[in-house]
Amino acid sequence: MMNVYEGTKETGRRKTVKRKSQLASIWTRYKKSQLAMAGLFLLILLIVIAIVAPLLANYEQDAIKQNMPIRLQSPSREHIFGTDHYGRDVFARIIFGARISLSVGLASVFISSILGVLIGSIAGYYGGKIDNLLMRLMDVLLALPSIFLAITIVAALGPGLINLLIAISISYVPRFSRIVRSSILSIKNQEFIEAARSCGTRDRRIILKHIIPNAIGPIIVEATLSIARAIIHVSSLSFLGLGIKPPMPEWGSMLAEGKSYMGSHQYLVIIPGIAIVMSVMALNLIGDGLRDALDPRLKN
Amino acid sequence: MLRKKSILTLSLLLIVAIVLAGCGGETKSSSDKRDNLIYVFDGEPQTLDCAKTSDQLAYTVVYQIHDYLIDRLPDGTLVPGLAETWEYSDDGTEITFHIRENVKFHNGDVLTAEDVAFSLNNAIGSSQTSRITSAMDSASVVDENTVLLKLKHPFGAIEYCLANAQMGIVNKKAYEEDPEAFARHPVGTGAYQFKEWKTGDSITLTAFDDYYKDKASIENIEFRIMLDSDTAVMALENGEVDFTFDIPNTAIKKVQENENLEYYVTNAASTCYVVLNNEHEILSNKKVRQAIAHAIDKEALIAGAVEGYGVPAETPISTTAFGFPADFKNREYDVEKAKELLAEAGYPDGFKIVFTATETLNFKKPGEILQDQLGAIGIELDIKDVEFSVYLDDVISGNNYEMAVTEQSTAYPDADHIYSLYHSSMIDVGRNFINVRNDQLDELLDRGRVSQDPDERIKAYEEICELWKEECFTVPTYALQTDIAANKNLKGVIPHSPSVYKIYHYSWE
Amino acid sequence: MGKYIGKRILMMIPIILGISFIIFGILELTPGDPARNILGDSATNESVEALREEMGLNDPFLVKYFNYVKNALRGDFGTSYKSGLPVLEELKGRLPHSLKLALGSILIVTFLSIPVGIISAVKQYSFLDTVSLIGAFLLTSMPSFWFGIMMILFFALQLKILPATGVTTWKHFVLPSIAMAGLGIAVVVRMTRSSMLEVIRQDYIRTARAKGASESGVIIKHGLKNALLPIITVLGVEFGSMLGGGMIIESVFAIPGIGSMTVDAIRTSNTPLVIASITFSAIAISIINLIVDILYVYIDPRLKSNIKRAGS
Repeated sequence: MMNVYEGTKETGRRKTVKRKSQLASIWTRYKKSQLAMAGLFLLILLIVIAIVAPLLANYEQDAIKQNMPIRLQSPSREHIFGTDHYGRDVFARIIFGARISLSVGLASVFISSILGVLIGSIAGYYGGKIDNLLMRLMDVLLALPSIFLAITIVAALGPGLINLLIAISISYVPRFSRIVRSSILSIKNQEFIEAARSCGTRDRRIILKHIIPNAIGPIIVEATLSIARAIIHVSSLSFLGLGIKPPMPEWGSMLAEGKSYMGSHQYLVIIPGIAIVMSVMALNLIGDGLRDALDPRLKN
Repeated sequence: MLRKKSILTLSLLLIVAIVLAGCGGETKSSSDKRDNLIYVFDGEPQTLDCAKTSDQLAYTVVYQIHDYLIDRLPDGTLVPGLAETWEYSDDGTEITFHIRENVKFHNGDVLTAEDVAFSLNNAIGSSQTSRITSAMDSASVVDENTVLLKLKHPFGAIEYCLANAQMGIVNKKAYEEDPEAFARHPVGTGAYQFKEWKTGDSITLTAFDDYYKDKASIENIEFRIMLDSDTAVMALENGEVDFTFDIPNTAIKKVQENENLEYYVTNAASTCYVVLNNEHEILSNKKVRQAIAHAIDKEALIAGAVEGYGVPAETPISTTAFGFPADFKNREYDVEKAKELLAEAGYPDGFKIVFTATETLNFKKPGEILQDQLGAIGIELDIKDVEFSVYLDDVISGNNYEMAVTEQSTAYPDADHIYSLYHSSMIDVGRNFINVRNDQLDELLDRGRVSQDPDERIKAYEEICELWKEECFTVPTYALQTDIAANKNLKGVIPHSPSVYKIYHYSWE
Repeated sequence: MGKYIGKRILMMIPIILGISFIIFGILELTPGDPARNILGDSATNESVEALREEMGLNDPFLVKYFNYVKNALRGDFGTSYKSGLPVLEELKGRLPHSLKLALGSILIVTFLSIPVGIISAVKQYSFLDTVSLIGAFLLTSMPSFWFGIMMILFFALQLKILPATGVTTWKHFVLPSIAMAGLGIAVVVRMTRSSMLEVIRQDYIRTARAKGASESGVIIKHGLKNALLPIITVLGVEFGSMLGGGMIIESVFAIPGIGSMTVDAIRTSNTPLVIASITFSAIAISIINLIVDILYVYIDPRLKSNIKRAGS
């Protein structure tokens, strides 16, 4: 993990103009890893399922509408993943749940990476007092386990999709700003930045046009792995009853609900867990693949 | 050299770690006759000061430690306890208790009338006991063995109230010395004396040698705290613990099938109902409330919320209470009729409403089911799952809610228990958080409370139910059951409501 | 050395102040009235208000915070709103359970992951290497609470060989410790493998082999010793997060430890308890980091100069 930063020095030395061919060579290296390709394939599959979910099941009728007479039915031809304690179709809830998990994961990491890039690049570029202040604040937040911070924020704001998003986003900002700052530190004194500065380019432009594009590698790797982490954290919070509001289907809350029936209806806790593991695994594979592709020296 | 040192340090650390990790590993020896009972708690009492206790778990502990003026036997009959005899004044507002002599406290003191009067007044003065002490005024010492209890009005259920777990007779001296210490280490005259309270872990009691009746058969009681009730049942199945009550509904079947366990069940004195804030701008409309009553499928609610372990409730009156009209039928489940009524009320497309729930009391499931059922007639429920204290603040005492469910358990088996919930005089001072203001209802409730004629009382409560059907102040949904799962060798177990059990009556086979 | 340790401890103070301020602030916004929580549902609004006043809950935020810090410096961390017990007393009751859990997990991580990692490295690309990498990968992709549930399902409900929950005997800690160790196992296996791979390519290993030392001797004596630094770092980090991260595992296995207490305390805005528990875990993590740094010196004396420099 530590070696990611060394890797950026390497990529940073190349000129931005070469980015296209650089992308192509990253892709060539990425393609070589079967595991990474498997991860990509799995993720695309999950995204496709999430998108076409309405074609596979009816949200209102199958995933939301309760039907007590058929509650707690084990998997059968009619309900391939069985039904839950309200007689709702577990398959429908899983595929619509994919929409929630993936989009909350993506959105929260998007928000936190933007904020992290902002804080990290300001701190790294300007240095001095601003750097000190921002980074001490990040140190404080980093000293808290991120799940702890998220639980505290959701408890304050109350459960719900948006609040969950806010909580996860905030708790991921420190990691991103740390990473961005250290990549920036390694880039900012290089010749091409010096050159841009001597041409009179303004700071904002230097950060946006020169520094961030060159530091983007580790950010993307961290972001991919963070989405995976976010999916786990969202489900953990829901499992504790601090997630989305009912009747929305979410994997973690499905697990929490199923737990009281696990003695007799194991599928209720097995299936949502597998869904979580699959999506997290896909993202982890992609993250690892990207890391290797961005810095080929790291491959053993 | 350094390397050796580092290996040494590491291995020392590991040894310490192993020893620490192994600390909890004592093994239980199985002798022929058990002398202890392990009783599962799914939470932890906040205090053992019986007048300040507010939950079933704390009631259960203090119930073993203290004696009561009047004792309630497992079958529900009331018998003399610390009071050998008592008599009422002619107008029924004063009771004179003759206290049993030579009863010893756990600290060796002898019980006096002082202790009794102090305990009663302490309970009357506590804000936690209002449900049972609202009719009591004060207690005073008449002579060494006589105590006089004054009532605010004659009250048929007073003896039940005095047998309630919160009315324990405490040792005045020990209490006054340090009330806070007393709350962690109570002193009573009961069959068991307090031994130890390990926070987060257990409370242990041991049989009292100088008990005024025969010494308890089971020597030691451990109330073991196991936060998750699902897993408490697993421990019960594995024989690690002996006794638990209010089994999670999802686990009942497993308990019934286990041959080492006995499962006991009976009707509880608690009813679950949908709370509609009668002052809310939409819910104040009678037609809307009627529509909601028609839209609720009680059978589905029972199946989904309590796994089928409940009985549909038709009235607000507890099934175990005097005055309960057994044959009364409320509004039936009829979605079409509900839609009609809603349209008549001016909401053909329904409306949106906030439903306040708390998972601490398992109100989320009924909420989700009502969300589904009321959704069918266009009423959209926004479920607000809040922390227990927020629920209490918003619903029970804050009038800051629209719709909710609640469970109401009665302190005494008499239909009068609905008085404090629905009489308009109870809106700010009592528990009428539903904001019912209905003159006819007030009049009927008053008649039921003061009348000395049982038939007239029964009639008043029947009329109340009729009025309920018309007005739908609340929608009663189901009556709960109360159950016990215990080691099958434990004898003397009888389930009853409220589910506070005296272990003195139990023994091992 | 003493100077260095002293400096490290001083550095923790601003962090702990910062954490407590942030958490104090967020909890201030959390709905829920501790006074109402204590008095229960039959209390009147007046008595709740009186208790609020008595507990100082009506003071402005900053006043409350400074009072708290002032008392904490005097060693008084307040009383739990719920039980009325001093916070330290409450922690003391819970700590043994969390400690046993964390120690159990770190033992599992240490004694399982390091050997597996070494074998993976020595026999790179072997069947065992592949299996251990896949296993490690699965563990990183699994929420620990689900891992725990699956183990309850299999070992407690199906095979009935281990208890699912509770804290009575050492057996009760087996499943939660494994569940908690899951992620750590994966991280340490990977770290051991990669750092061993790096080491065994070095010349001195080849030299040792050429001198005729036994293979296992070479691996343990020369290889592991030199690969140990990053492994210990990771072990330290994992142990720290175990001490502070029992929140969900403890809920799943119904362990009355610091983690489950903290979740409950956050939800009921039991501020003194939350702050105390987070301070505890921050201190524990710092101490572990310190121990790790000190261990470095024993393993690699060259690092001693670093510490001297940092201490002066």
